[in-house]
Amino acid sequence: MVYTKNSHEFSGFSLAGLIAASLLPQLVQAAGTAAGSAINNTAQVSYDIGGSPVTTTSNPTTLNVAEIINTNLTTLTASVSVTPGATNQVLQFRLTNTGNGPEQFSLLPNSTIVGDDFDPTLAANRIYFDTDGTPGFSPGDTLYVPGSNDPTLAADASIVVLVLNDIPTGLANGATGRSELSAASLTGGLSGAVGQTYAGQGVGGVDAVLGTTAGRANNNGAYVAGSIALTAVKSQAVTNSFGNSQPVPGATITYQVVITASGTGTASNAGFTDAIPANTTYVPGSLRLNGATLTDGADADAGQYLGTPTAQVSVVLGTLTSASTAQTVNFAVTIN
Amino acid sequence: MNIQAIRKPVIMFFLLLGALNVQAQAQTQTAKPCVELKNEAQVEQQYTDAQGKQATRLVAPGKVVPGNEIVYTITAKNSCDKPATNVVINNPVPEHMTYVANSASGAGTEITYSLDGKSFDRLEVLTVKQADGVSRAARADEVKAIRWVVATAINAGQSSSVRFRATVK
Repeated sequence: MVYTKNSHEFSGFSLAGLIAASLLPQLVQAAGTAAGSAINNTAQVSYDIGGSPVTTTSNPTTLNVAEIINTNLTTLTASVSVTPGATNQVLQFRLTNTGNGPEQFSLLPNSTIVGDDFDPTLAANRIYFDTDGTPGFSPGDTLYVPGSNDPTLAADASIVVLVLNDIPTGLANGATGRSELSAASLTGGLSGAVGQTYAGQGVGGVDAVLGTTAGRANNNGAYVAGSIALTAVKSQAVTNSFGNSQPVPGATITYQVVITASGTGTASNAGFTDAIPANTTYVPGSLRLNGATLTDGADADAGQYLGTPTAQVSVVLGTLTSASTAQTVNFAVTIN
Repeated sequence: MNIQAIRKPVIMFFLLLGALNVQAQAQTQTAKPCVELKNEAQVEQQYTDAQGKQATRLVAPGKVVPGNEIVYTITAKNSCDKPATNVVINNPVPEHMTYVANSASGAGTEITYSLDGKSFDRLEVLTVKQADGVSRAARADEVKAIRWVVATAINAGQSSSVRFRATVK
């Protein structure tokens, strides 16, 4: 009933999508005029000579826009809560081509970062592209094989990259281990300097030049060891048209679920989902979080009702720690 | 078929008036426009001059990438022996480019701007109607064309230069 992002029950919400949507407008710069575009300029002049009007045009000038290589790598999961000993724990990144032409990038993970409390261990299959349409890691995603399927991104295009690590055992609560992802354009490689030019190596044979990022970017995410537990206490109240609390057909059952976090660490992207009991029907519009009404649709608010495949309500609770106030979810059903 | 039908009488006409025809051709060849317009695209380059001081000069652009600023210089030269009057130079801001605010210049010219390429006025009085129906002052980056009206005649052998800057979008 209660899950955190790292449990197997997590599904259904496009949390990564929501996060990405809110981050993208600030972080991604428009790539600008496409590499290979021609900029033509012609001036005109009109005048009178000997009383007759004349109009002529200038010579044309043409500038061909070179390819500028830039990239941006953002973390979609700055910090995820993990259980010591857990395997294939996922950090999500978004790689964006902020240049003005298509470019191929290589990716390199690193989990031995100085300054954190422990080193996660990169999984045997350590980098995936989130290609199956379901946010987060799932078996249908595409494994990255360096040199074999280095991603090619069009100008302004982006791809979600998943980095998988195993978490060592015997960690203190709250211990943090970082894992880093680096990206580099194949044209500029790992050592090309800002402003370096690669003659004829841009799209369509134009020159390519390394922009302010030198075509490289890196970012990291943190695993935080914790033994945080989420507890849900569910209670119900029955009302019917007879004015008593007999659960007869047509009676309404109002459920209240109070979720509290205990222990140490952080439950990131915590959520709540509960199946509508058999032989009952969800009362549209009855979902509430901490007293505030949530609409039934999958939209900007934290909650939604899903009719299929299993009738259920779900609510995104966000980041919870033991210091968080208890979260109260209400919804109602009628007995068929 | 039609072309041939037309051509025949023309050829006959030329044959009949052979001498006159040669004279006409000679005139066409020399009828170059009196005012030649030269258009140059350059970029600013920092360099150290002979005295060791930092200075700026205009050079031919090497690579051009988004964000680069291009300096366009347009020179009208009168190569005839009569003065050219009512000289007006027009330059649409090129596609993929944004006009740089206050960059249009030209000694002895009156400069006006257009947001649609048709009607020209001083930038301060141009307005843009917003979606809510309220008009606001136009911005320099909305300029689509620039016009220079040269105040006095360009005399024989003289020239007039104007300039503007634009950045690659």
